Amino acid sequence: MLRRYGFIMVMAVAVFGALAWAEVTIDFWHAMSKRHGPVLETLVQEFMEENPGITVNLVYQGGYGSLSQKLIGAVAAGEPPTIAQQYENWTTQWLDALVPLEDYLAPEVLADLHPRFREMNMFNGQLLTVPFNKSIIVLYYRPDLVPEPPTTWEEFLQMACALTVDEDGDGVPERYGTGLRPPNPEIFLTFLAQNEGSILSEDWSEVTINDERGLETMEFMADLAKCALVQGGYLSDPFGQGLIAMFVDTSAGYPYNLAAAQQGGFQMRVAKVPCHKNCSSMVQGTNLGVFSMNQTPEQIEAAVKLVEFLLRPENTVYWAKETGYLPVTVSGFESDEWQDFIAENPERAAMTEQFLEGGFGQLHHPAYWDIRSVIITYYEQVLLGESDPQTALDNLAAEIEALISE
Amino acid sequence: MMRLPAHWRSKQYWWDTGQAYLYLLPAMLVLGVFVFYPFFNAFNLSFHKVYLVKRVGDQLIPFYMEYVGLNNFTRLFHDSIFIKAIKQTSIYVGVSVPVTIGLALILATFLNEGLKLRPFYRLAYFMPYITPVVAISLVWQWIYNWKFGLLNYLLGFFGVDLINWLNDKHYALPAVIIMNVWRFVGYQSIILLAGMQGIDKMYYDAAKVDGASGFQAWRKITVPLLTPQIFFVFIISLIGSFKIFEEVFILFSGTPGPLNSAMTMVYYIFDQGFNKFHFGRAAAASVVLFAIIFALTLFQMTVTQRRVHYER
Repeated sequence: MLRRYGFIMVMAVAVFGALAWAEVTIDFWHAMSKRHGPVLETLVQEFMEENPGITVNLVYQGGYGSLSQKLIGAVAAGEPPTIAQQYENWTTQWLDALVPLEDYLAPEVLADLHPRFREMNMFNGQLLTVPFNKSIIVLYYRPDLVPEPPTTWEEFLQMACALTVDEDGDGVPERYGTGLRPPNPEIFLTFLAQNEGSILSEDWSEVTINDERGLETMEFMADLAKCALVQGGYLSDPFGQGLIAMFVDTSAGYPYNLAAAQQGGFQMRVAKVPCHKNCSSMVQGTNLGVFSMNQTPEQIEAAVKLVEFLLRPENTVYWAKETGYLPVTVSGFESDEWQDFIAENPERAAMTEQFLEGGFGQLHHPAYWDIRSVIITYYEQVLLGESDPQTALDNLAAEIEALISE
Repeated sequence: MMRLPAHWRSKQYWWDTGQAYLYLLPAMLVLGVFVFYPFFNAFNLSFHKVYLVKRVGDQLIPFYMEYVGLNNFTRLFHDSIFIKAIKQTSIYVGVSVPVTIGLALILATFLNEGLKLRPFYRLAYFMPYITPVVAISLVWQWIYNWKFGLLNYLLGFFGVDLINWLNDKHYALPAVIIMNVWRFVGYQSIILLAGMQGIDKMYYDAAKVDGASGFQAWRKITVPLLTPQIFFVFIISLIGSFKIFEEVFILFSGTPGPLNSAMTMVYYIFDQGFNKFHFGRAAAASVVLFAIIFALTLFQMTVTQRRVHYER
């Protein structure tokens, strides 16, 4: 008799135990390939060991293009994953399907998010995502050609033109001072912000890109283009081929640019982008959002836990060190570990300094991708000398006007 | 009472018919889900504005469609880039299709002339067709490199100045055309070659007796009797060419070429749908593309039917 009760007791404990360990499974969709994927896997593994009740399904969805398409499909079907990497202009398409994180994250975690990043993740006054793999636009240069990197627009222009050489006089330089890639208008937007200009007014009611500040910036780009290799492909190739001496590019391109320099047999260094009225620089890379659509409260809770885990100073620093992205919290930036690390890695110090001094993000207007696309059209016309800055900007402003009034 | 056809009363008839449909079912299912449903849904979508998710009251509705009538179409025809895409796609098709077929015909003729190592050449010419377009485009990106590319190097022997194939708006579309002519000429010549080998030798013997030259025999016998194959290749490549996309996407590193000079209709559809989230507008653009291809195919069918000679 007693034995039978004993058996029942054991069973009961087992059942309650299992309930207490309630398994929650969440899907985490990402686009981190073989370079960064393993780092993310390590972090997630550690998280699962710390939280035995939670299983995180890390799903690599291919590049950002496929991730975007799969998220579009998943949201349209009403079945998004619990958590996913996403760009701001994707987030604006599904604002209503995301969890407002301010209601979920612990206050100390919220307070620790770097204020610049916090601002970049606010949509209609709500924190809907947190920064994840963030990079920033910096200047890459060859120290053998550029002993001291330029620090102002004037110096940049002057050096770029001095470094442009056409020795055989055939009108096609053997080397350009710099390179510009029209499909990458973030360079122009960086300089625009440095000149205190903007695409739209603060309240999005007016187009301001063609004001005096915009014009000055576009004129600067037109001048720079005369001493620049202008091409649609990535600039790491011509850089490696010795065709350009320095160029402005995102810090995420560092490994590619470095590999190109090594192939070309010369050194490469990183500095802040030359400044103007301020030292703004555009931040790129994705954020993490937790979906509320089609999720159980337990799943949301688990995802929030994961976000908090990733935002811990030791983890954001580990992530940044291993991948080349930026830490995303104040405590991360200020940690001894990060400070020691950047003391030994000057290129990472330049990226950190650039962010702390002037990192800013994408415009969160729902039509941003259309706006960006027309900016590319006219920016390219100016760089290729097809249009003068004033005309291009006026046409551009008219098109943006039409887009925001749609 | 209405009279039913006699065979309706036969059990055997229903059994056979049912069986036939059963065999068709798997194919119909696959085609239905992946071809017919998307096809008809594209028409439906083209009259709507799509929100990936929209809050209506306190309910979240995924893929919310708002009826907008012909708005998407009017917006399209006011978009200079869409007009440019139609224009450039037409130029692409207009040049690449006849050039490829012309070259394929010449190539097939030579292959048919008892060439030594024919299996080798056949394989060599077929290679580009079976190689993934991504790999081809990446290789051609290097061939087109203006400073270090193979093409400019070869052109240099003829005193041609460096051409910035991928970054000059005048050369971007020609670059795509050259690459695709190279890519498809082998495939088409193999089809034409098969056709040529099927032509009865007696026609040539008869021509020889009548004293026709080799060229005359080619013009008066080979080409006319090859019209079914030429027609087939023509339709297939015309339809395929209108749908050009990947080549552009990879050749120009994910852009539609300098100053949109290689913007094609499918690139435009892709860009509207997947970069800009305008699914309705993308659907409208694909309906326009469909209309163009459909009209051209009908036109071709009626016009060329009179000129296609079937041997038997």
